[in-house]
Amino acid sequence: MTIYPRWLMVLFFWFGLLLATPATAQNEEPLFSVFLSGKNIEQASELLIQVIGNHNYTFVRQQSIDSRLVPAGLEAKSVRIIYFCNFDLMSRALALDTRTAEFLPCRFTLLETGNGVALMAVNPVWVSNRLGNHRLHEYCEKVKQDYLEIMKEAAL
Amino acid sequence: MTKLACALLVLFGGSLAHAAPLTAIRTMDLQAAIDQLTGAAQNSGYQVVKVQPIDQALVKRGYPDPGVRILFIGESSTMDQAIKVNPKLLSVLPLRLTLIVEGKQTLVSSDDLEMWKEMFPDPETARLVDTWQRDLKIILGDFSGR
Repeated sequence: MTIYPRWLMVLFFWFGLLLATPATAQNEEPLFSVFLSGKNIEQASELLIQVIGNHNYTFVRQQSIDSRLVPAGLEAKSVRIIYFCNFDLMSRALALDTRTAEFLPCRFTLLETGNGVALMAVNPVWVSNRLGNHRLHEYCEKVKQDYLEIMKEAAL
Repeated sequence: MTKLACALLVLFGGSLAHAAPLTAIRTMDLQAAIDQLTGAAQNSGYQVVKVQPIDQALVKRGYPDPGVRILFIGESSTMDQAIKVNPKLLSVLPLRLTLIVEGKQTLVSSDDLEMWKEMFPDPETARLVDTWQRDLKIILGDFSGR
């Protein structure tokens, strides 16, 4: 049996971890999306803010995607961002790893089309898998499930 | 065996560099860093859309201060470009820079846009993300005085 030096075994271990991490990330969808058929962006925003509150999150703000980039009154009407937050979850996640700020505060992007509104959110687990901190997984998985439930409820 | 180890090291190092977001660090307090970063963004044609005071929001509610703020930046054409090329990219706009206080220093980090290129490798999406990455790199370079 071949005896490998200790440093090489350590190197193999870390390389194995490296290979495993992207595999996990690839199993996650980058984006969640649902389509709110027959609604305009005002109706969809109002509904979404209500559902967000039902799931123990605080509405932070909503804005057109080009807010403050174009003169007031000329902002795009068809693309809106809704920011929201669970402060307790946010505090605990940031205490573990400040890099979680990369997907905070929580947000949905709404895109109005001719026959409804597309609702999109970045999967926090997809982002956090790249950070390589396994202790974040519990929080990100919780936020992911909340996103999915909020989107499902909004689309009913 | 040594050749194998070297190959693994190259792969390991290369992958880490590939995944890393853009970062810069300066010895200055948070407000000075925000001012400096705002100027750097403007030098590259970007406007600050919003400073999200995550630290203040948490402290106000009785939580510990994480020393984190987020700067949202953009330029007027980015939304139209994203809609034209790949509407899914709207989810990363406006672009974000995260400021993290580390002692007397402030670390600034961009979102990791590289992963969006990996997920949507079509040339047009990659080209647009490349443009944003290049701009962020210039802004962070300007901020750090490079």
